Amino acid sequence: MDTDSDSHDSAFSDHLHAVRAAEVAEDFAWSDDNDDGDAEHAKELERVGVFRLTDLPDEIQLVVVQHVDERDPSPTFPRGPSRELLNLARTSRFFHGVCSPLIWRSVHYRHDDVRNRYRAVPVRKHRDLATLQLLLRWRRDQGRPLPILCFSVQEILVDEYDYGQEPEPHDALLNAFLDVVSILSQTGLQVLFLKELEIPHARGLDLIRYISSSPTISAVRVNQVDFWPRRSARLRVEDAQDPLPHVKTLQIMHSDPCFSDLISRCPNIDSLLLWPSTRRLGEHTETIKRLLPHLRNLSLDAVHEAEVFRSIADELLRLYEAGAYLPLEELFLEGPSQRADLSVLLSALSRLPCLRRLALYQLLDAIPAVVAEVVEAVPAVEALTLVHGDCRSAEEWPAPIDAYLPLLAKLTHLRFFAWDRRTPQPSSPRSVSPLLLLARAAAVERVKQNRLEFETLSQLARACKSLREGVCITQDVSEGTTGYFARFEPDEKRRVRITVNKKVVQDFLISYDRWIKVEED
Amino acid sequence: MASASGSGAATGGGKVTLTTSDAENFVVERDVANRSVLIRNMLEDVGESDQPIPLPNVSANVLKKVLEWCEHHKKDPEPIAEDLDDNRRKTTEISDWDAKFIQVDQEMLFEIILAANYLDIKPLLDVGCKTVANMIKGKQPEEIRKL
Repeated sequence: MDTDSDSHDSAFSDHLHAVRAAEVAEDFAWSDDNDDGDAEHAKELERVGVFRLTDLPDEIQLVVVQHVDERDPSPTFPRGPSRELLNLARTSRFFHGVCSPLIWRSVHYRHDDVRNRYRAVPVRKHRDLATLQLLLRWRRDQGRPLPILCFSVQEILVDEYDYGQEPEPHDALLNAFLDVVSILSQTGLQVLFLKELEIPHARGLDLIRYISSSPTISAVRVNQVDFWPRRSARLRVEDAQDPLPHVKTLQIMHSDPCFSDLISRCPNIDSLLLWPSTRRLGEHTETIKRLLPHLRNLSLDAVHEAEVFRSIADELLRLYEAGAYLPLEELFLEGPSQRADLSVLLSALSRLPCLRRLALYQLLDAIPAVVAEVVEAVPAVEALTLVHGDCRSAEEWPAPIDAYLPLLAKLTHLRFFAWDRRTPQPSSPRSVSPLLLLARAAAVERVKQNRLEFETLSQLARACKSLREGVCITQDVSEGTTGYFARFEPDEKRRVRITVNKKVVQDFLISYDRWIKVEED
Repeated sequence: MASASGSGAATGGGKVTLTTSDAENFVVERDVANRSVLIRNMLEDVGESDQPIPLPNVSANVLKKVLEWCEHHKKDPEPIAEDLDDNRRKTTEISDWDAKFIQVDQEMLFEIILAANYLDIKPLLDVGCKTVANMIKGKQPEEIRKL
């Protein structure tokens, strides 16, 4: 089921075992029939008076369990349980009871996982969505629904088909998926993440219906979820037009336009991310403007309508003048804009009392004067991403680094900073032969660039004393951001230790804060 | 560090006397004793007093270890509630000193945890619980049952 990492790769089988452990076999963990040796051992320990784990008070055992479950919830995609938690759940009725909600809290299913292809048929069957479907039905019929709060599904695609022919859906798989969503939507699901799904149009509308009818779903993320066949005229879910007050987070990325209809139906959205495949927001601009008095996070990615950002800036200024409270904490805007519009936008941002995280992509003209304007507009910002170009690759900014550092130093609360400024290599006379240069050019340049970026990040840390993380972006495509990621850790003597890694992160580069928090009971 | 005393209460000069369940007295600096929220509250409640503070749920050998930890951490800043909660969730890492400190047999480990819980010393409770969590990790259910 969960295939995000090796430690999770048999999570669904283990889910099944964990459930069976206490519910089917009725506490097999302590049964003498199942485990004579352990029971003998337990009796012996009891006889000699050894202090055992289970002798600790319940409240302390709960703290221990929290430490066993050290998963870092992914901002992009929820993961399944840790193996340690599954093992602990199998030890006793108490731990099973405590661990179960944590184990089931987040379930991730990836259909076409390469590692799954070579597993035995029974193992694959245990990992099947149909098995989860059966479990969910069984628990629902018992009146004890599984406590799944977060469900993510990835890669349910139609079979390859020839042009002109109707594609063949995975009927059983699709039915199981939709039934699972249908059940979960009525049994406490809070977060639904869907990625890379192809669904027949009618069934896609069913999916939206299930989301709409849920009284608990508060966060929806759809990324590359397509309904087919594509229709020129958009169909709407006619029987689901009621408002969805529970939905607080909505993220729609390269997905069917039907999902966009949800935006206007969610009056209480406080976190909105739109990445339209058409590169246009069109009619939704007005809806976004209406949401501004509620929005804490707004991310508009790859929008090629310069007038949209201007329109939002104008609305912010209008609301400010009208005395409205504007709670926007995080703003991510990617798209080209005119210099004059950028000034209006920055003027609007300077009126946002809560703004702490800002990302501006495609500045196109990242001269020091522009950066100065940004700094002046958002002096209290804690996370700032400035991208000069279109992020296909890092670019040489118009001025040397010394022109920017004094400006950034004015941001005394800045803890995270990212930019796509490629540090230019100093020109030096070539003393090696052109042939040798050809053979070693790539490696030599890489090493040189690494050193240069390390030095740049060091300079950043020296200039911005509050900085804890810095990134020199080298590429930002789709959801993956590649770059030199630095962590700055001051020690007791106020020296700053710098750790730089070149890596790719699968997230929007605005800060390391989480997009979605599952509400705990 | 604390000094054990067989006689009654002996406080003064910012010192506090703690009496264990087996009637042993420990005279410690107030800064050290204040790592325990329970003791700090008791001291605030009674005000200036030479009366020893009874700790009926902690034995002398366990209190000695707990005070060793408190002495080392007496200058640590008080964690903000949110940070504490965040740290608890994020990591099972233990500092080098704490890791060495907590290298005791299982019974003593659990006794320290109980004492930290009773005395309300959350960072020490965390160190103990993280250590137990680390003992659980990587073990099969049968092995965990033997803990």
